[in-house]
Amino acid sequence: MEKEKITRELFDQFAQVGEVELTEAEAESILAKLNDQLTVIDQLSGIPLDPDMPAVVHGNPYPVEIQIPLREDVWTPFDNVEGILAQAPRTQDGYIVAPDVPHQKLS
Amino acid sequence: MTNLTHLTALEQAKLIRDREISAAELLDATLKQVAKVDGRPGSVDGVETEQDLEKVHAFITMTEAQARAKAADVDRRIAAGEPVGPLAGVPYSAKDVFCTKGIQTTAAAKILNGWKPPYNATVIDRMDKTDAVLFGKVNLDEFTFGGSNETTAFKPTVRNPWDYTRVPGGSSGGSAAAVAADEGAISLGTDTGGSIREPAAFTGTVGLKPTYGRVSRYGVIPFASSMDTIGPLTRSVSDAALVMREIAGADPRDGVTGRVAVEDYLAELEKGVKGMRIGISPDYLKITHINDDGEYASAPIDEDVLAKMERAVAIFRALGAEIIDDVPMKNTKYSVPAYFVISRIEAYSNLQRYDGLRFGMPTKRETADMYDLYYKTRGEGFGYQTKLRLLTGLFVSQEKYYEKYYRRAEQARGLLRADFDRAFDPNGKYRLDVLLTPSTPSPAFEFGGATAKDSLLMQFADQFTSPMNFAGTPGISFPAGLSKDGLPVGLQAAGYDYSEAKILRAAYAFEQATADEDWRSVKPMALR
Repeated sequence: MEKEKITRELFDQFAQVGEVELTEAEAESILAKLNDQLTVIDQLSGIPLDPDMPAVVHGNPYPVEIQIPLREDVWTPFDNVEGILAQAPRTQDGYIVAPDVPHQKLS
Repeated sequence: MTNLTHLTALEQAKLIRDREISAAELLDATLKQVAKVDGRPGSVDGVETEQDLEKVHAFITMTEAQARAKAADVDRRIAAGEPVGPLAGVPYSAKDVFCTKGIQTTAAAKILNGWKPPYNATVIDRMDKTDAVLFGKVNLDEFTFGGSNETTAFKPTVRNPWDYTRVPGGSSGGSAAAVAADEGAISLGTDTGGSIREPAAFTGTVGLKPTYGRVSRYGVIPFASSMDTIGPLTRSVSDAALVMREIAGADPRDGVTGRVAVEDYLAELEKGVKGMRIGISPDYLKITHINDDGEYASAPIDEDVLAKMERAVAIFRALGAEIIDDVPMKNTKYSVPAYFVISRIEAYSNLQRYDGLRFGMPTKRETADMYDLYYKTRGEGFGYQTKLRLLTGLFVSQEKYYEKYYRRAEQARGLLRADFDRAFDPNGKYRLDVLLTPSTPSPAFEFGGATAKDSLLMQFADQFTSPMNFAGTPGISFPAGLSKDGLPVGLQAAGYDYSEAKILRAAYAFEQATADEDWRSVKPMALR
């Protein structure tokens, strides 16, 4: 199987989607490392697997007998709202103030 | 005069209960030890100087005021004859990923510098119920991303108390270094691919990674949620058993914890290993890597590590254990690529909460809108390794790669798990109680590995530990001697689901059998 290679153009798009600003030096270095890592990741293609084998999301089983019962879907107030708001960059009347979310009017 | 800080937690707790020392005295001695060996705490504007190179630097934040209040409360209750918990007055530290109400919790990431959680992690509350005294938060690899502590944004970097030119391991490197340097007998760590066991091996300490779901992760900053576990680093197996007994158990706030009875791990220790079936696997006695032709190839592990393994086998056999050779764990080699994919995808997902609004210090630059705020804040607040892992996770989680990468990695996880199912099947061919492996392929390596071109090689330090994170099974790293260079070597007793009592017994039996050996009296550089 041909090895995937990430171009700089594609990489820049990923940095935008991942919402992470990079310096030019970081971008060059991370792009090179990412392409190196794909060599390792691509080894997954070579593992002999039965196509019907299920994907395993957790290693050890979690049968219903040991599961934590789901709690009632009831709203309960948090006892330290001030503690949350104290960490927010800006607040107003108990709300966290966020910058504008850009949007476009649908024509 | 007794060196209070070198005692085990059990010994310290007994002295306090017996009123031979007070909790305040022990806390004083511990803080003095930190002042003596630790040097400057890590900070985001810290620049390493020559003077920093001969100190441990395990800590980011000291919680002296809260610790003094807790110690005074313990002393008052003991004086009044009131009941106290089993770790009353024993100072402990926690990796800086455990949320502590009103106390800075950073994950060693610049973006969380100064963040004060509004609540405690469940394990912090449980330790508080034991009346242990939290006196500081320790350094780690940023967001736990690394195996050497070099990726921390809080400098100076933690140094190995045995040899300051070597890494302490990671990501729980601050925990391991603190315990090895007598800065507290207990530290809480986390383990997603070996982050408790590898630093324990590198620093001559005991590190217990429990079964996935055995200990609540509520309030612990996550790395890869399908593999994250929490456990203690200590200087003795008994201390690890005691802490695990106290922090284990189901928690309604962590939906993967299991309602499985918690054993009295401490009481179980004395049962020994007579009749225990201890397996050795050839797949854990070599490194499997991918060569330049893209093929799997084998490389030998460090000869000192191999020699300690052989010696431990002889000791266990002499103690009456039945040694089962040639246990196949043939899918171990797939752990590296599968771990890469699963851990990066889960890390990418978990990193989305740090955006300067929900969590994290926002940029001070002008921002056009919310997305610009996210973009600049994360650019400034994330370190190199975090950006690399985030972008790797984003890339391989594209829908078009689901079949090629993610699904195959999850299937490979099934193969790794099947290795454990076969080896520990009570009706199977091997019927193991314990699988004995090296904790790491080599002793602690020198600084520089994380930024070197071959940073992939660092993943091999996890090759004997990450399969247990895939399988969800427990493992304990315990000291097994010193290399020719005087560096600690750790071995791992790995078990099946919820078999913490058995692996602790094996580690304890080895500890007792070697208690009088010369290497046990050799002190780390930081204590000489």
